[in-house]
Amino acid sequence: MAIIQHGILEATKHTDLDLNATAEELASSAKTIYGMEIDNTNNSVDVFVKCYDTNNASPPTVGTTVPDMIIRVGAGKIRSVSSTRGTVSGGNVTPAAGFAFGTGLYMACVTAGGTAGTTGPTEDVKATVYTN
Amino acid sequence: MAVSISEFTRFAIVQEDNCLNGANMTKYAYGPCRVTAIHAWNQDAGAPGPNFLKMFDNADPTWGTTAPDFSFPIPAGDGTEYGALHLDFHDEPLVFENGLSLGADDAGGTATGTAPSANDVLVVLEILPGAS
Repeated sequence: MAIIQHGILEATKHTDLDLNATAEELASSAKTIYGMEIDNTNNSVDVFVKCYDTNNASPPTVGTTVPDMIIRVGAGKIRSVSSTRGTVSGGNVTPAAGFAFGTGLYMACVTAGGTAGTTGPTEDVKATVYTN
Repeated sequence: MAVSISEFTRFAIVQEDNCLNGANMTKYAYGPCRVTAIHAWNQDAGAPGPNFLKMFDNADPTWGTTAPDFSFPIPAGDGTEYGALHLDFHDEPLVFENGLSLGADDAGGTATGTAPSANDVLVVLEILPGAS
């Protein structure tokens, strides 16, 4: 069996054990998210994790600031998201992994999707985020 | 374009939409379904930056008013190559209990942004019928 190695990705692991309606800064400078795992097993309702491309110079207002990524996580579920984003030209694919956040990274978790929603889940949600 | 998936029982359906923009939201399914893979390409080059793929657990959402359940940024192309987003959810599909609709523009949250300026977003989805 041939093994093809496409590349080695070094990542920094960020763990947030109490993600809720209060936005928390995971990074104060540009970061690329390679993947994340969100644990909503302690809640009986769906939650919405929102990621904001900003830092502590201009922290987001949860419920008002437009999020740059929204991920719904089902009640009692764990949701994993990983991305390999790249470019395609003439049938050639150039991988460029991750979601690029050019300023920084704030995250929050509420019980409503879209931009609005300021109510956090009953129990905090756990998030593990892998970035550069 | 409206697509009914009720007649499919065994195999994933691959849906392609090469004209996705805010003004022409696509309603993919009118009933429960699961998304196991997303491939999206941002054919706009450079400014205004990423377009956002917004996904609604709703067969008939109102663009700009209904809160999206998921929102993923698709990076801008560079004038030669498209920006691309590839997400794999085969292990834990995204579940849409009430139908599935999609839209794309340059704002990540609920409110209407500016539709892709020059070229619409191209999306290829892998969908399974039913919520489980």
